[in-house]
Amino acid sequence: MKTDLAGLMEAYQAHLEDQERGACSGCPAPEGLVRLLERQAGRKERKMILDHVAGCVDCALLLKSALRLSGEIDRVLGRDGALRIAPREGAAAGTGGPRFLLGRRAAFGALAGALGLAIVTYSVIRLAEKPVVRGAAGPQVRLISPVKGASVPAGEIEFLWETVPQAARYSLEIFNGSLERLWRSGPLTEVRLPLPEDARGAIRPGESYFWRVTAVLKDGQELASKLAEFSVGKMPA
Amino acid sequence: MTGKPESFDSFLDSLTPFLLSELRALGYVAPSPERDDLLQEIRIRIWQALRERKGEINFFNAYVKKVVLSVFINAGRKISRERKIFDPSGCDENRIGKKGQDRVESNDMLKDILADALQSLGREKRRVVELRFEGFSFAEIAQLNSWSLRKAQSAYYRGLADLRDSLAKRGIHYED
Ligand SMILES: [Zn+2]
Repeated sequence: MKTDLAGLMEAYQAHLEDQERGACSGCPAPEGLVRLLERQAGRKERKMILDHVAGCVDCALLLKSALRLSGEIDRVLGRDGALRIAPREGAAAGTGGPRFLLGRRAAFGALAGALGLAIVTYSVIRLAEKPVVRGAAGPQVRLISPVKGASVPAGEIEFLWETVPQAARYSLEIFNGSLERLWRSGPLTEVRLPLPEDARGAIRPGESYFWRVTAVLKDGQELASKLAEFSVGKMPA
Repeated sequence: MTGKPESFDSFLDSLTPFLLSELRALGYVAPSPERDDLLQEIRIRIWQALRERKGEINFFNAYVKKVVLSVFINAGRKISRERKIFDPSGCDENRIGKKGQDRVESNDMLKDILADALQSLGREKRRVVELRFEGFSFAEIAQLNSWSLRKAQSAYYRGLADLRDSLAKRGIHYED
């Protein structure tokens, strides 16, 4: 029997699902995960938590999400844009709550950064807009790999997404960091696509890109996945 | 969203779209865009936690970050608990790795052999390979282990090489 990386990843996730149906207990306390994220966990605690996360779908999802949030907080705050408590004027009145102010230089940097972030966030939201399907049972296009935030050498990039039962065909798009479309596939019938040669010319190692898949259903309705970010790493030596 | 994080309010405003999209990815469905109870709860909890420390700390980016992460992780746990109450089988559509029945069946043999083969790896290599299979990027694995990116990559590729040998002994041939 032969398999490849995607096959192994799929099999591992199926294995975890099986385990979870049995029992998913002993998840680390939220404080432990925060310490891990903040690099404040000791060696022993870190290993214990990561051993657990490596075999727990719930914790892996949560930790990945918290990692992204952690990066986002850093970006919003700015590298040296410390939030500060303003003088406690009117604090006794108990209204309005405290104000936390930035240093002037830091505020300028944070403002510029946040403005850029706002534009990209707005663009992501606009691009990620899709026909709204209410309820958990509605069809959705779910991206499997490269996972959000992954760094993959160009030669190893294979786009993989979940089958949408009603889909007649799919198309895949790649965008640059400013969300300009760089490449679009023709109609696809498979749910995987190794990075094609002509798309490879449009991407560079070390850069980040976004991708999404649109499923065209048999009734003509189009469903777009969320955008997922990936970066192109260098081939290991 | 103001995009101007010069106060705590606008910091939270700037963070809200991202916070919401992450909560949704964890399976959270807001009753309506106007009435978002969980988001409101998160904002209040962050606010309360910060108010308790008012006056004690001047520079506290790190503290704000800790509070936001802690509240977010608690909310994530809550979503997960509620999902299990409504769907004890764990077969929720919002899960990564939820596959169509046909694909799960075709995986049956491989997943058992893979689980067995992973046991033969050293603890560290196994942990890294499993984290990668769960979708963590090298950068994330490096961050979580307090390693360099290079070390995370090398640990993974060494683990993968061992796994390839271990799978081969079990009749599975892994190809790049
Ligand atoms: Zn867990």
